[in-house]
Amino acid sequence: MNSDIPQSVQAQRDLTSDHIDGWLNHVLQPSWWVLVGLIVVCIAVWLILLDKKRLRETLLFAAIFSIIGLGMAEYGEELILWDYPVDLIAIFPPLTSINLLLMSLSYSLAYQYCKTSWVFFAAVLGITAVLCFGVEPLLSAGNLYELLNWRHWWSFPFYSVAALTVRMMTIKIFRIEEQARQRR
Amino acid sequence: MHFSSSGFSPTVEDQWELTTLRVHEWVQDELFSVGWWLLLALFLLNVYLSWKIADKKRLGETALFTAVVVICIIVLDELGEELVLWYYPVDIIPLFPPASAVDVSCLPFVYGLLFRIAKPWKRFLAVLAVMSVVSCFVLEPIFVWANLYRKLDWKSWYGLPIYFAIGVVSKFIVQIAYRPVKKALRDAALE
Repeated sequence: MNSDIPQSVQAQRDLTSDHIDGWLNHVLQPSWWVLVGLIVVCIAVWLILLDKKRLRETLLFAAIFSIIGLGMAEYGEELILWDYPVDLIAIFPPLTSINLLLMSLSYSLAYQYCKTSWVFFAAVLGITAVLCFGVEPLLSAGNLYELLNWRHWWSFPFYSVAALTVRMMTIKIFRIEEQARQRR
Repeated sequence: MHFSSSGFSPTVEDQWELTTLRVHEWVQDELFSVGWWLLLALFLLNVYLSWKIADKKRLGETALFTAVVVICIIVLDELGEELVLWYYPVDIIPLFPPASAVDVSCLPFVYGLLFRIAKPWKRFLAVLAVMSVVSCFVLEPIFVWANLYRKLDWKSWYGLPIYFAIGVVSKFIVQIAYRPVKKALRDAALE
């Protein structure tokens, strides 16, 4: 190997081999199957509830939220704020974490169902409360999500602000489109 | 609150070692270097160009297409970096995403350009094929030459089908999302 390769590349190699070792201990075990089941059920429920007529808006919301969510989840992992002890695949743990999936799916459905800003705002507060004080503590108890240098309720403002911001962005994008079409 | 990895599993300790090394190397060798300024300029330029070339009358479609492209790229780039297939000697920010400027600005601009200039599938696939070849065999070598990208267990041509697939998947998702709207428009026109 070349000597000018930075130390962090070797550190990445070590970390990935840790992840793969940990994954081999969990894969096909009960907790891994629980994770698989949760992911499948969540996606199935989301697909059933999706309104086909508003698919373009809801998918845009979900896609933008997923980018922000992936960033948040990965930063939390890199800054050792939290960890995902059981992973669907061996690498990039946030990608298959159930919290992130649940957030993208539930907030995008809230976007689809809530017609006004205030209803959406209330829905976001409700969903975030359920996630932070119900779902995530349960996931921690089930060893699917482990808090390291973090508290459950600290997530509350981050999730809420992310959801509200993504709705504003989505609405803005379609408003600009509408204005451009009228100008024609 | 203190950032400490003591008392946690070896995985967490290794994660913390990686993060501190990345930040350390970034502060020492990358921040404000020529490459860093170049990447920052590329990032800003491509964000500006993406907005300039976007068809505002199709902004919803364009945004969905671009968002899916970004998701594909950051996921694949992170997977490759974690598998130590490649790494980036310089980055605008030290942590995620692996190559900030390229992942969320340069490549999304290029894909957005294809989406704008080639609406029918046939033409889109043709320009996408050209773009994939140019990315693998012209742009990547330039980035390697400029010391902004290093391949470890990777060959340029491995990326060829991946660049192509990202475009196909993203356009396909847009098509699925817009099928109900377009169908409603067709039905209305028939009445």
